[in-house]
Amino acid sequence: MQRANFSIWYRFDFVLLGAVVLLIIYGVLMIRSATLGAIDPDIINRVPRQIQYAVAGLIVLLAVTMIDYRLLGALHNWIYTFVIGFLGLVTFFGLVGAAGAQRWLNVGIAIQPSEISKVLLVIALAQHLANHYQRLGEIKIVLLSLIYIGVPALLVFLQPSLGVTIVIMTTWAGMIWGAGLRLKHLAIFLIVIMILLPIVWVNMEPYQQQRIVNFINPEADPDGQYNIEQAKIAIGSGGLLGAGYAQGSQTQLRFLRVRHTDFIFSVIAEELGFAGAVLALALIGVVLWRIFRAARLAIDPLGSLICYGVATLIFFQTFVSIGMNLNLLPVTGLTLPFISSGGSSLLTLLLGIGLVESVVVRRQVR
Amino acid sequence: MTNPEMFSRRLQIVAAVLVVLSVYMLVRLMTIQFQMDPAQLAYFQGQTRQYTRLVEYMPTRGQIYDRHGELLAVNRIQYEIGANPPLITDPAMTARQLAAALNGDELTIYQQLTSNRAWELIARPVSAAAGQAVQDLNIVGVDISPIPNRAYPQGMLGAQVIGFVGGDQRGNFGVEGAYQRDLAGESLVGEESNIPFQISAQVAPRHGRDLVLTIDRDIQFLAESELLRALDVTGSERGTIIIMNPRTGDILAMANFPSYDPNLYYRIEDARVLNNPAISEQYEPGSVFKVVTMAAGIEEGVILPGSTYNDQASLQCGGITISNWDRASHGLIDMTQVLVQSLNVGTSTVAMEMGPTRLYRMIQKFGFGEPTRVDLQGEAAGTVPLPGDSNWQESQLCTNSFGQGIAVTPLQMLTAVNAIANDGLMMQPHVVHQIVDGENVYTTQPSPMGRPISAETARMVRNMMVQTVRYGPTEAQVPGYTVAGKTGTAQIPIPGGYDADASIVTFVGFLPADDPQVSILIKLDRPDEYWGSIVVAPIFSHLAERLVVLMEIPPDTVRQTLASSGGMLNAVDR
Repeated sequence: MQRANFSIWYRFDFVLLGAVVLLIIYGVLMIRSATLGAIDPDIINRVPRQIQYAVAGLIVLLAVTMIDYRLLGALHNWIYTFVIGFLGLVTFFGLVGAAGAQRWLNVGIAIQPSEISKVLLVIALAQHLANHYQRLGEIKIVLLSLIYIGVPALLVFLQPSLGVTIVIMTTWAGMIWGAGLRLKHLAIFLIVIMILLPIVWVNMEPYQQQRIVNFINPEADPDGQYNIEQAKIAIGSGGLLGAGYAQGSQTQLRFLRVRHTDFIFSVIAEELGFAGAVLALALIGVVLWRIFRAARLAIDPLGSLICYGVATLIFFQTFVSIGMNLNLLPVTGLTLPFISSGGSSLLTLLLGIGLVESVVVRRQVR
Repeated sequence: MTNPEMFSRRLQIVAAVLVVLSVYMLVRLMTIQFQMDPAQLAYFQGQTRQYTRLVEYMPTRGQIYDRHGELLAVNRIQYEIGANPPLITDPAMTARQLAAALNGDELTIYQQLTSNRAWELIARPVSAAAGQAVQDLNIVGVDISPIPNRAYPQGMLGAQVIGFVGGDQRGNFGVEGAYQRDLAGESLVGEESNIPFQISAQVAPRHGRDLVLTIDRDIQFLAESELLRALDVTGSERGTIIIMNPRTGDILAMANFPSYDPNLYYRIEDARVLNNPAISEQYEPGSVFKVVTMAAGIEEGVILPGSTYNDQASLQCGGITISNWDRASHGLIDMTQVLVQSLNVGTSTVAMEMGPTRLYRMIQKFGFGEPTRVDLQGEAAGTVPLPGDSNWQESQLCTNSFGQGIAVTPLQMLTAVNAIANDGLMMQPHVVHQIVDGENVYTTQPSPMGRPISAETARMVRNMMVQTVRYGPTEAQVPGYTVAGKTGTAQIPIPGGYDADASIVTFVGFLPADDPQVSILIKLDRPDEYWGSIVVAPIFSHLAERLVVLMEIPPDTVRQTLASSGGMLNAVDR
């Protein structure tokens, strides 16, 4: 038993954990800079809260590492049912969130069900796909998995949270690709998406539509464009080495809005410059590299698919968040993984890393 | 893995996609951070200044006083009330307070206070009292900024001399226009922080200088009311009265009709009313110009007041026939009588004796054909055609001698006559007595424009003018005072000749003749009666009678008694 335990920690990916911890520290420092001189108690508490959540998250990470992911996989129907119920509850008992969206559920501490759902759905979907692994060439199975993920995605969309909906659907796409989606089916999906986009558009909330309109035609709404312009100014003024920690005028003079979450990347780029931005990207790159390594080393499709899902989750969120800061993508309210302030997000991501560690410590011994 | 080969192939594709997207992000990051295109850079540089904004601190415009310190133009304080809705903590309460203070609509103000705009205009303009009331409320987020507003407490009095300040805060016409730079001061552009609660250093712009005019409010009022009376009595359409001190060039009053109220300048329908005809309007002076011809002839040694010639009712000059006003022959007659009876043939004879060179040299020495450079805006130069000019004909040598074919402004005419009053020394006319810049006071020193004639010539012409009032238009006499003066009737040029029914009548004169204290020009356009001697002489008399009282000029007998009993004159006539 002792030997078995030892072997778990022997195979534990400390590089992955190290990169994650560095990202969290980096994030806490930048949140501190972004919230300096704040007078809103909620904002003042961002730094201690982030540290508390990080500590809790790291404990969760280690705990999940010790749980065999196959056990979680076996429970995937329960997990799936739990997620559906959890998301369904939000509609009836959810708190009205900051932006008027019912994304919060109060269970002792306020958690965003959509956040935690992302990683739980990775487990459920990974097991679902693993169960049908041999028949993935059939379009029926692919469509079944789409319906499987579509139900919770629809619930999240109705909350409404367009950003998380897209993350869930992208995670599904990444996982089914990794599982071996046929190129013919991929083409069919692309065509279907083309057809569905107008329908989705019609069903979007006005503010969601507005964000996309703003992105495509910035001059239409100068007010809406304000955040993006300020972000560009912040990033542009950073230069190679930045204005210095807690010295960024855009950040410290509060021209940059929601700077501790959505626009944390702009804070980094302004205060620590290109070097600081590349450092953040590099650390996330290390994390992704170690997760894909885990996917490759996994002993079964379930493990690989879990890693795939977590990697997709992290990469997609990174890309969308930074893309938004760089005015490449519309404003979606997605956070920068591990760095942005936000307890639910951090906890979820650390849970995901725990799953990856759980896979990697149970890898094939070569 | 059941199919490791497929898996690793797919992983490579995934990795490739990730690398491509990451490189895309990095390139984008680099374009923003290192290679800003010029448009972005310009935008960025514009935006860096957004935490401070440039604010123009406006100076206070100088005030305008009459020579005794009576206010003619003041700055009235009015306010603009604005609000920064994000800073208003209690919109309902604030709306109620503001509505009460400004007598406004509470609901409207509430809606403004709860708008999501950065700034809302609540009210403008607001009286000083209401502005003070809002100031006393001391509400964070409500700002009160003064807006300049010029007021003319004397109303229409001296409007064309003072001018007005337009909506752009620039002075127009009169001294407001001529002394714009002194009155306006200099604004100062400073940086003010956009960060709420950060107080910028207060800096003071250079405020405008005050002006003290030579205008005497009471004399101006007298001139204006006499002018209105004159228009009423004579049936004239328009008119001008200028009252000056011939010793110093001080303009004591300058009245015109029509005029306007500078407080309501924006209601003026005919913009021509803004001009000051006393300096802007040039007209053919008519017989008043004969005093200039006489002075010129005496100064040039061509004539003396007693020189005689044989008047034969008409004279051939440059191809035209010059006739006297009465078409009568006056026989052997001297120069004084030429002026007294205002004989065109007489002055023409003098002009022909002098010849063009000497006559025009003298006319120019008296300042005709050149602006006087009085310190007011909109002065005309007059028109003096000279030999060699395309608009000069030989006959003009004669017609000019009695004020035809030559155009002058009323101020030029009076300035020239002032030289005769002031022993030949022609003083620069001016309307600003002092410029007050805080502690520093610049006082305008009387300055001579030139000496067209000698003191002796001046004395002789003065006597001729005294005779003129004594024996010519006797209605111009002022009981108790010796007056020197001359009337004139000018024809009004119309296309193709002169208007047969209408005239412009002028009286120019000064008193007391032996020690001139005040000179007056009265000009009336298109009176019911044609001849100046009948129309304008009694107007002068009526005005001068009141003016000597106002200016405390003692009658001749009193002055002579004083002079003979120890020369206390100076103490009395001030």
